[in-house]
Amino acid sequence: MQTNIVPVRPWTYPREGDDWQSIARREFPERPLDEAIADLQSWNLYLVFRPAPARLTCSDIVFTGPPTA
Amino acid sequence: MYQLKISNALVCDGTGSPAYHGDVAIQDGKIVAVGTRLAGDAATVIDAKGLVLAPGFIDSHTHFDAQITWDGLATPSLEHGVTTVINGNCSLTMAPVRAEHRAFVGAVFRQIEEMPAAAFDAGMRWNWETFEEYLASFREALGINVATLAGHSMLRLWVMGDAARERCASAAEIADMQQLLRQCLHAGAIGMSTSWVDIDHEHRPVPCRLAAPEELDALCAVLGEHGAVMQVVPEFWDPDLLCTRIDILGDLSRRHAITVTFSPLFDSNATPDLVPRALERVRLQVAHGARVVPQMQTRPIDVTFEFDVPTSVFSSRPTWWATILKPASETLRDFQDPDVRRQLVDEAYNGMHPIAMEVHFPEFVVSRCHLPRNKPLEGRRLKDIAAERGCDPVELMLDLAVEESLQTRFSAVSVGHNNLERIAGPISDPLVQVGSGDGGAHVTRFATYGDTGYLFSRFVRDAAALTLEQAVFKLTGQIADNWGLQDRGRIRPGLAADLVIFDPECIDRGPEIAVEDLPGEGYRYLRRALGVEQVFVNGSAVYSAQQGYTDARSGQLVSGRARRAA
Ligand SMILES: [Zn+2]
Repeated sequence: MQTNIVPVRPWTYPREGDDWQSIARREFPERPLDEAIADLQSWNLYLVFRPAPARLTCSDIVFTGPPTA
Repeated sequence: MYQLKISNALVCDGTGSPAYHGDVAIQDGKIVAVGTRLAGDAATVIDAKGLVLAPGFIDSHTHFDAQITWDGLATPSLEHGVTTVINGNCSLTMAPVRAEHRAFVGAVFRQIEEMPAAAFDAGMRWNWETFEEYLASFREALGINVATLAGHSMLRLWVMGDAARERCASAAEIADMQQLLRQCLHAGAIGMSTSWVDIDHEHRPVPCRLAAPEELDALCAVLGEHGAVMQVVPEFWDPDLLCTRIDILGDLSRRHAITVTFSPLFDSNATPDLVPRALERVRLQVAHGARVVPQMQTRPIDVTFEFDVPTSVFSSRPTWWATILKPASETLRDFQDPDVRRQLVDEAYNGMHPIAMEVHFPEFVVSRCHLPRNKPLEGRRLKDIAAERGCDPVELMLDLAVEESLQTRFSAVSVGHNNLERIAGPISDPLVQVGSGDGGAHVTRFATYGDTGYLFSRFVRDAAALTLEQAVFKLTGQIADNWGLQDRGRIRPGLAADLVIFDPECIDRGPEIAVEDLPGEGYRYLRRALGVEQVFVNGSAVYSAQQGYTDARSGQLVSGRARRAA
């Protein structure tokens, strides 16, 4: 069932084998890659600072827009 | 003639409607009659004048999965009036687990639920693999009712082997997991649990976190076929992440017509707007037809620790963490090294707080001393002792730890989820379920028992945020409704005679105490109950304040809608 609930923030799931580059390319194909990666990382510090060997998983939320507050 | 009649009680029937003075009659494990003055004799009559009679409490978030295999009472749950525990939360269960994965599953469970290895190894017989065999291994010895979820991480591990820790599942593997989940549900599982946050003993994501969204969706479809529930641990500390997870849960709930519950809904000074925002999001999802149930715990976070293993209290202070992680002899040396000490003291005062906690070192309480000469310090705050001695509280803690070869026990009391004013509203909100207590887990860190008594003492008596009847409903009827436990949670003829008699003026949790009752060496923390007079499970007296536990083993495996539909 579809609803018209607007997400609190735009987001996506990572795909198997994704890294910041591949997510940036997919989500922001028009933007310069470095800039897009920098933005993505700044919106997802919780993933950037996740200590190894924890890593990006396919069930994580990757925000593709800035915080709400 | 009834077997048992409880008379003159103030009956709170678990529906939330006004209490009334009346009698309840019990026969063959069931409630058979309820009334303001029941005619008919009984073999045993209990006069409950001045006391409340309520349905036995249901503890909806516990981790007795290991303990229940050696302790069919799930002590000390019954003492607190809890007659049903829901096990298997947070993606972790003791079945289905193949023999070759026992070591891994044990390690993960001990890491996440903080169960000492000696107790776990001494207690666990591991004479099962399937879910059905697991339930059969302890059902005869139950003094308490047990409902169990199937853990998503275990389904993955069974189907994918070690690859469950590495990658997404193939379509065939997802189909196998669906089939396995069906088997668990038919055997009596009431649903499935999963997690978006937990890490294993090697700091890797638990297996269920490697599931692609299609996998979770496919498993939820099976839950939907069976009218079963899903429990999940979301990123509970971040408002944007939590609200996004609530949306994901809302979609799953609508698509598969399932109830999903997440735990914990947790208040913290770091994010005071989190709970209101999350609740607003839940409200929105519910308004759109989803069944999303947040669970909130009643008690604040207390953490007790020794400097033998690192605890969450130190997780955001790298020097403390690294120092405690070392072997004891090196930790001791570091604690005396002037350079390291300077760093430790500086970090204690200026370091970041861990996720969802506010940790102030001078407020730590000395909870147990090893040396007789230090015993008078027990129960006192570091800052008070330090003021008396004219020294620094953190230096004092280090000195004490060194003097006692790291055997001093300290407590960080009320470091999170402790703002009564902020919590009282949400906890009384009809959308919020009382839960997240974690009974059976974290046994060497803090006591996870007595949250039920604490609901009455703090939120009914102190804050007047809930009426007595509402509080009883939150611990009984509401949970039974949410989890599909249709024959429990209310006082009504035909339902199971799970009952608790308590004194509404003094029901509470007792102080935290260390008790050496685990299999093997070691202690755990627990709390005794205050004001709970008598507890009945399926019609049999299992506990009374006067006589303690009886020999009755009248507990049952409780199934949800899933088993009945099968
Ligand atoms: Zn848990």
